[in-house]
Amino acid sequence: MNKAAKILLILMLSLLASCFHYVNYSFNKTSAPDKNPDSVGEILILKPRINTDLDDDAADELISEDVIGTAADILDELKFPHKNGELGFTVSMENRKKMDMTWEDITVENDQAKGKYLFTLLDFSTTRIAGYVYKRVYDPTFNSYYYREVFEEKMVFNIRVQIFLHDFDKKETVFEKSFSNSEEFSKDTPPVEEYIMKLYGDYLKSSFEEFRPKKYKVKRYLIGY
Amino acid sequence: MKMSLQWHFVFYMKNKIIAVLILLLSSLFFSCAGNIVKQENTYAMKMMGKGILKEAEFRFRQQIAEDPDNWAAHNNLGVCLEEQGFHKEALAEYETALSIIGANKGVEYNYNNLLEELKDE
Repeated sequence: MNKAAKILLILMLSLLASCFHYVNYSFNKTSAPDKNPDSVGEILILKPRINTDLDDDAADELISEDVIGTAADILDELKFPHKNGELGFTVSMENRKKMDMTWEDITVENDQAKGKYLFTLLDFSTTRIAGYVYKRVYDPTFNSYYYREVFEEKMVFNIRVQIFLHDFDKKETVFEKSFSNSEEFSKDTPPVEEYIMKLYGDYLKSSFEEFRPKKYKVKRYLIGY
Repeated sequence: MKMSLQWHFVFYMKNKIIAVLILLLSSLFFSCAGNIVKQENTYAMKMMGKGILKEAEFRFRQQIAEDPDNWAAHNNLGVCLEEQGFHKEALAEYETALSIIGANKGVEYNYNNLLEELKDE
């Protein structure tokens, strides 16, 4: 092979160097919800039943107001029409002891109730844990670690939320969802109201999950060269 | 007048040198042209990564306008359109890419998956 042919070959190869290659590319896609969101219609947000071990009843009243406000904000965000409503109801004390309640456990005094009602039962309690625990401690003198008993104080937040959406026209419960969470805080405990509202917002959103379009990841190939 | 041996060699190689020079210049031109297309494609893909889909779409369309047989640009435009929700247009772009290239793993994957998702809907 002479020199010119070699140069030609090198040039051809350099031209071919810009060959195609695949690039993995993914993006979010939305699919239709499991249940038709239009079937929900206008929701009446009822005053929630709050039960906390906080110092005064005023705190419960405040949380109750906050729950209504948060529910309204979340329903706005999810684009479900809503309004605040009043409905006389009683919760049987016998049934109240049950771990999970159903809409049937709640007796509605007003039989003429119409439309869809969103009702929340919220239990919140705090537990203080204090004691000595064995912990690995750093000793700067000897630049080493050793185990010793350390006094530790922890605050546990326990929350339990039940959310009901009941249709009085069709006389059926659209959904009954129950959520609970326990979280330990060793140093700074967050403000109780903020903590409750954040979790309640998340729970309410997940309750309406079936009526919302679902997001899923799609993988495609882009072709680079 | 007698020419030296060196000049003989230069005249002997002259044609070959010219041929090589032409090849060199032409390959340089084509590689530069290829580089511009490559840069355009890389830029469009970067825009897609950043979520600026309209810009990416414009770049892919520009590549197709320059070279309608650029199957890679057709495929990439298909992905871009699919992400924007234009499923039928995306399917048409994948089909065009396949009609040009015949068979390609990447394009076939994109086409078949979109087709399946459209069936589910």
